[in-house]
Amino acid sequence: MDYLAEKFLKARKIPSTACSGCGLGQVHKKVLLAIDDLGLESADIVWGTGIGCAGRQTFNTWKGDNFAGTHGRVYALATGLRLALKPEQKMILTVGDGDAFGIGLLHLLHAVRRNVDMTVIVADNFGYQSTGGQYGYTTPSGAVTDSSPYGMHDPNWVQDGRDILDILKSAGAGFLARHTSVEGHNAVESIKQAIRYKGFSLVHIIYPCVTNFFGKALGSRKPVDAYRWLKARTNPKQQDIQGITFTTGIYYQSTSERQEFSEQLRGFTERVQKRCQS
Amino acid sequence: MAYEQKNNQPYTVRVYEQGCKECGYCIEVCPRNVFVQANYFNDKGYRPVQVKFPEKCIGCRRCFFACPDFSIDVKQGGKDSL
Amino acid sequence: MKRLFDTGNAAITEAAIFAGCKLFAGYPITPATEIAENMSRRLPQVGGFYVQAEDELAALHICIGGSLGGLKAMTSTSGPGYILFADPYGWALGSEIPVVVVNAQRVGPVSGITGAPGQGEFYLSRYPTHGGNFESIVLAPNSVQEAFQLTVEAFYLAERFRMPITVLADQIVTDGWETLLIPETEAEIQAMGLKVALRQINYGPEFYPATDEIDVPPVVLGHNTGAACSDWTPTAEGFDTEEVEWQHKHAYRLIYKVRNNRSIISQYEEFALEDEPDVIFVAYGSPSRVVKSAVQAAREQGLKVGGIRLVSIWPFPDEVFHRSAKYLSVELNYDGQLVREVQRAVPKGSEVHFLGRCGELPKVLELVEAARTLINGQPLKAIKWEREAW
Repeated sequence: MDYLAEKFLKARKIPSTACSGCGLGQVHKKVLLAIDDLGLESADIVWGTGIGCAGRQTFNTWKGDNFAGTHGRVYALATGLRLALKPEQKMILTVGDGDAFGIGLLHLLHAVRRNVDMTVIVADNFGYQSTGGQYGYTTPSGAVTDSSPYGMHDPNWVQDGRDILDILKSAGAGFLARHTSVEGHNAVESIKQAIRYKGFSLVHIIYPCVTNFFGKALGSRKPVDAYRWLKARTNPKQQDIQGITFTTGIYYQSTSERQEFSEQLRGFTERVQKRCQS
Repeated sequence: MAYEQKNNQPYTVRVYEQGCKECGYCIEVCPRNVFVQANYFNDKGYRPVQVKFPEKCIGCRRCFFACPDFSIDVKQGGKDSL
Repeated sequence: MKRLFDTGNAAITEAAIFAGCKLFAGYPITPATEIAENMSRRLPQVGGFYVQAEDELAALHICIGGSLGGLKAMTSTSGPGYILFADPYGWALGSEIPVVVVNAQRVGPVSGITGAPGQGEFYLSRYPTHGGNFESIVLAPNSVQEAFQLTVEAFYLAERFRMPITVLADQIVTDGWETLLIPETEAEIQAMGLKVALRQINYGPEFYPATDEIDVPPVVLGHNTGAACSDWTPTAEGFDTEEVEWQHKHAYRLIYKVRNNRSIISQYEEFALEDEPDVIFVAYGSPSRVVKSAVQAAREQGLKVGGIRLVSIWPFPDEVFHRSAKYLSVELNYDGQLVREVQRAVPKGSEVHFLGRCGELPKVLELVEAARTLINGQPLKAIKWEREAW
């Protein structure tokens, strides 16, 4: 284990059971780098996860407290938990694209609406890979998967003028960023800002699934081929890249403070109690 | 065969062989060809990478960022810095 | 003693406050909406939180999330919401998180008739989630006063067994108005037999012991205990595992912590069973009040009739059904649910019959007549099932 894993992670889960070349570890590492940079320790963070590759592989890796919700509902669990945690304690959720943008989208949106203080890291591998590789809501249009053998035909959340981050922004999310797992310090900086943000923040990070997604879409299970594909489409400087491209960086950062859910509710409760006493 | 790390090199690169899954990302991203693939297997059945030319390392940490398995450390200084 | 005239919904609310509930997340649904309304008024007064959830899935998940952080939590619903609890209910069963769930049963299936009583979730409350490998604890009040007492009891059992407990009421209990006594002094609390368990914190490293013991503190997050809880089969430390041996241990715990401690849970009431009656009515919830009157009325007419009223319905108290007799299960459904468990539990040679109603209670005289028919060895008439007349 490297120094980061040594410092923050439970040895039993490292190395993970993820496939060779799975980019999830790159995402995981960036979150830890951000935590390290911010000087946070195990007691400062409660770590939640969803279901699927992203959830299972990161569950109970954190040396502090861990929980994994049912598929898509971890945002609701975290909403309740937020009311019980100390305000200064951070909550980080590592979830997959299906968890956040499919089965859990309703609960995610309501967590955004309420402005529940949590940082959601959506580790996006273009679909349902732990079940063998079915398309999801970020699968590139036309991609061949196990459930789109003739090419992805179902409209996704990220192409043709749609952007899931736009929906989250409209719903009231205060900090949104998008990166790919092949990026470096810039992604860590975004995650740091997301964690620091008091309220709902989300960082969408695309990472390669070598075994299932790229195995079918590129016809190669060589990790380096997937890495090169993603690297070529990672677009921090908004260049004109043909085909699908991932414009990375901070997507939206609110300039005005919106009251956080648990703070608001605590304040409300205090006011009612005072009124009842007087 | 194992490669020697020295004390007079500017950076020390260390690979945790048992965690390596042979993805090859570090070899891909290293601008100085510090790494080579081993010709033996670790306990999980992967051929881990080896730090063949540690003295070439310029400390860019691209390998560290690319390694998905928490299996590479890059530190400034000679071998004793690890 | 505080003396009120109020509904079962109000009783359940006051019971939750009494038991130290600090979080309610719910979704409006007839006939349990008033619990949510009352909680939204009462909880802030005692430093608690009311959250209106986007659906019942979220409602119970939010409650469990709060409980996971150490807050006692409750939600309430009726059938259409109770089925949506399946997902979080299973999570709380598996991760052993205390939470109280109230179901005010109405007429089903689906939305059915909203403001009328039913008893359609007898089996659903036994199997409120998928997957098996667990026992459930369910309490069924039949009055406003008992709705108060059993809700307090549900909070107590939830902590000791560290699991979700269902209070299975029905529309008559939750919407009905009756006298409600709320104890205030220590002596009054003791006289009513009310117990409150404080939340303990599990400091690890063993969060999921492979034993049947109760009073094991649950996982509480936020104290840096290194705890882990998830929907996966846990090792003792809470790591997710695919090993059958751990699943075996986990299943043992979820089943036998309840089965081997049944005496703490089991509650029932017997009416006139001393002289080995010919007919024994069986009921839970509001029909049991008709049964009680019917036993009295039948006795006045010289019929040897008794009754059993289940207060705790799961785990099912088989031991109560040791007498050989003609049993008549009286329920608020037409398909017959409780009757199947009675059939399973009675001694060989006993007859088991069924009298169903839905949306309304059966009448005392109907039950007396049914008892007379059974004593005379005649078949029961299919009352209200006269298709020719429709």
